[in-house]
Amino acid sequence: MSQVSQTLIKEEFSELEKAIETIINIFHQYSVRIGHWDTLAKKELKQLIDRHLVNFLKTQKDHSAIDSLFKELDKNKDQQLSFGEFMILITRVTIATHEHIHQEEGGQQQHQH
Amino acid sequence: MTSKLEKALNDIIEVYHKYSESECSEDDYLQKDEFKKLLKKEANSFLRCTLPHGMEEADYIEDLFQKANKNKNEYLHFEEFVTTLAKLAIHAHNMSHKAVKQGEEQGQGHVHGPH
Repeated sequence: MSQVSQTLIKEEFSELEKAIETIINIFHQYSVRIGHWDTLAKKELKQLIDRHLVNFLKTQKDHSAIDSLFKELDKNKDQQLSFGEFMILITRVTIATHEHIHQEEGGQQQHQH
Repeated sequence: MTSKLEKALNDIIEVYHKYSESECSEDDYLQKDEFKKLLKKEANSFLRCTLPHGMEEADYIEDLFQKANKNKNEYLHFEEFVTTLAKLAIHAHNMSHKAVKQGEEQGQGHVHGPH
């Protein structure tokens, strides 16, 4: 795709659509590495979290936490996460982040975004 | 430093707040009107791509609202809203591969990033 057409598509996308596109692109960046190209192996999930969710998922750094997180997300127990299974994690992290924002604001006088 | 992915998640929350705190009501919930506005303005291309065949857009949005509205009150809270978001993302993900497949059939090959 040429630079120009890529720019055009980006401009048509809303903030929300760009955010969703980022989630898909980052999933793919890691899913292609090991095994099936469109699923995350445990190692890929760990790499993705270490690189991209390090501030939002601070407690996940140790191995056993990644193990149990992976097990929990891998609903069909095929040892890999589909995009849908990965979205459960993203949803959960987003909800926690949203709650965190409001907790922080609770300490301040005015509710502002 | 916030990563690209973390920024994307913050952006999603920001978009939600832009509508949950609109003129309809200044709270942290999405009224149906606010939900409609959000989808139409912020997710229009996804709405168009995922609209079930033969269904009107207004009915589709109503359907999405009802499915997200687990406790059947008048509005969505953030946790209910993200289920719709996940749906949109999963559709978008599937569409991205459909587009690639069509490209492959035309001999263009499969390209994953750098985006």
